[in-house]
Amino acid sequence: MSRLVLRHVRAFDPGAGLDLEDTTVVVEDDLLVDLAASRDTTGERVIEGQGRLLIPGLVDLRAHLGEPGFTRRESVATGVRAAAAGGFTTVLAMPTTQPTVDRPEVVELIQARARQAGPTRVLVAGALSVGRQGERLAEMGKLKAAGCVAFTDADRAVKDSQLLRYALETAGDLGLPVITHAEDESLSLGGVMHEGIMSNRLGVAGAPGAAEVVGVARDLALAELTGCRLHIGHVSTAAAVELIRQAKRRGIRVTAEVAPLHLLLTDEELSGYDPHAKVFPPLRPAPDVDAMIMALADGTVDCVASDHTPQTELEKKVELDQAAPGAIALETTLAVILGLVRDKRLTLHRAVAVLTRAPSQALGRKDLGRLRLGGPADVCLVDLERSWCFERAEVLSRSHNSPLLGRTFTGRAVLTVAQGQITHESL
Amino acid sequence: MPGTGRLTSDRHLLGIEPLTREEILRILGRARELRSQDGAVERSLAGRSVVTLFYEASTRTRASFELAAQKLGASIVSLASSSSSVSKGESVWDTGRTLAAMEPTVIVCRHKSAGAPHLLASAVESVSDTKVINAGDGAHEHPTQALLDALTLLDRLDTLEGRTIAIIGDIAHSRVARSNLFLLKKLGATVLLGGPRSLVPDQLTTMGGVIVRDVDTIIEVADAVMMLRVQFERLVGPPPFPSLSDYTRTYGLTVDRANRMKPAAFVMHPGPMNRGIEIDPEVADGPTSVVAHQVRNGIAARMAVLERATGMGPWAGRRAQ
Repeated sequence: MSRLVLRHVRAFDPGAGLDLEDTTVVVEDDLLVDLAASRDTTGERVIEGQGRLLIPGLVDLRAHLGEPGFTRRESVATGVRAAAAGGFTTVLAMPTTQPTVDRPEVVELIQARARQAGPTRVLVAGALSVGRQGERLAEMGKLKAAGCVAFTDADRAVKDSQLLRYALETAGDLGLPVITHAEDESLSLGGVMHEGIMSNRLGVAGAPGAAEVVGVARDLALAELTGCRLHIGHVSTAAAVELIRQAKRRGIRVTAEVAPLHLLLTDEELSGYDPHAKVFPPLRPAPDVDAMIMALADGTVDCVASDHTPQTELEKKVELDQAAPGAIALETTLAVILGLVRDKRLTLHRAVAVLTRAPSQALGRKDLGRLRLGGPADVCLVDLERSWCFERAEVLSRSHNSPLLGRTFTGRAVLTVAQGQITHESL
Repeated sequence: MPGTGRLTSDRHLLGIEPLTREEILRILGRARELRSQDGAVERSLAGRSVVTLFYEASTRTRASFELAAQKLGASIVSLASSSSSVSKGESVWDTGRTLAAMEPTVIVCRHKSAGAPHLLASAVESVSDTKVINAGDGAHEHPTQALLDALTLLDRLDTLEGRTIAIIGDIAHSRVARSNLFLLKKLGATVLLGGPRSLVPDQLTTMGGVIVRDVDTIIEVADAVMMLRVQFERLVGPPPFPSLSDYTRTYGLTVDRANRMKPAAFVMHPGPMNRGIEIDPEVADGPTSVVAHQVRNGIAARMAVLERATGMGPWAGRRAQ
């Protein structure tokens, strides 16, 4: 039995109404066995918390880990190192692999790599359709049996509405959610960035925000029709948020996420044709960014997902219209959200919830993303005052594509513990 | 970071947008001087080298740049994507660094992707002091076209201050339109933009243009009418208008429309023309057309721009602005 003691911490799990100042938390093996232990408790390792915030380990619903198939960009091992440095103890791996996750063998391969990589929990999202081609359903029953926790075609919208209906129903019967990328791809065809003032000035082909809005409207209608759980991935426009707000009011079972970059940057980032600012969905103008922050604050958007998308330099060091979209994000997500707290756009309460409890709930996982006596020892110690720079040399992901490189942040995870083991430490 | 970092030199010519009004006037003034010297031009680029790197087909722009460089005494290396390493899959970044290592004075670049000259300039700056001139990048800018157009306009109108210039056609996909819009606004003109919503999006008003959907209205008030072709090669998805003849009916510069222009108004076209679509052949070749004059002015404008890039002529010992 191993015993880890976290002394002088502020144990904070707002969703559970837990806020214990200056307490001592004890981990035995992979469980939280005490949240208010006596100060002189001992163990193999005693960590002095100095009153810093101890929150549930962060849960990410959208990471592209590149394995199998794209290990030049990322591997499960490098991906979970980046995740741990960012305070994450659980990541949901997208089926953007080669081959895709449409058969149990691929699930098992990712799980095996994850076990070798350490205690960070790598959950696997199965493909919704065979080959993510949007033509026929993947074998969801077998994929669930192998361990998949959700179904999605990741960055591809499901074009055929009937197929999406069947996917929602099949996944619903299995008790699992469908995650969609909501987009009408005929509207966004050829688009390189958000269609608007910037794209017109730069002479770059744009994809209108309406492409997302149409996609969200369709997906919501199918969630209502089927009554099955829908999670809408990386929402980025004000109008789409408004549809989600109405749908929730009507009682439709939908959750939604936003990526950190859509809470921070606008399409102005592309003024110098920086391929690193090319992400998917594209960066939007300020009113959309503002609406996303407000929707996250008021709960219309349930949670934040990193949308960690590694791309090699070869895929980025090219003309903007040729560059692959996406940015690495696991190491900066928490810092971006804490920035919103510093700017008083988000309460600390909400900031913690959107990275822990809310994403777990979207997956229907009651065990993760919370501090619970007798629950899993997945925790993250946060220094709200720590100033740090996101330096290229210190990036743990295998890829370095981020518009945030060189940026200074305040607040970061200084200790991450997954399944009772320390996965990151920068005390 | 490629294509991201600020460029250190201000002597590249990547677009009209970053230029000041004074710098534009200096280029135009120098172009006029060079044009008037004709055969007796000082060979200010003697011993210098100019590379023309064209990733996209071009007739007039390439010929115009090469003639301009020749007149100034430069040696010219002419590269096309089909006959160079580009066809072997070399990236713009690598091509830029490779060429820059040979230290040509100027690289003139035409590319189908907006922003490519910016990327090329970043690559070049990491190696040498070579300057990049944008000869057209995607639907972004075509600065020398706007300069030669301004030269042509000023030959007839003396000033652009208070004048009304119309640009009609596929503005969304036109680098010529963007560069002209920036330049004409800087020189004080009112710019009317005409064409269908699918090719002339409302957002263009934020760049200073005034959108007037009814072409007949524009025709009657403009001092000069610049017609643009529909860039079919950049269209994706279904056609954005019902048919070519339907387009001509609503937006084309027909003989009938041309007859309703102001008496002194004239017609411009950057080429290539799609006769019978955006412009009737009779108008293109008629007395109000200054198309040939535009082409002639192209050489003088490009000579001035080459001098600017190399720090010669009025730019000797002066910082570009």
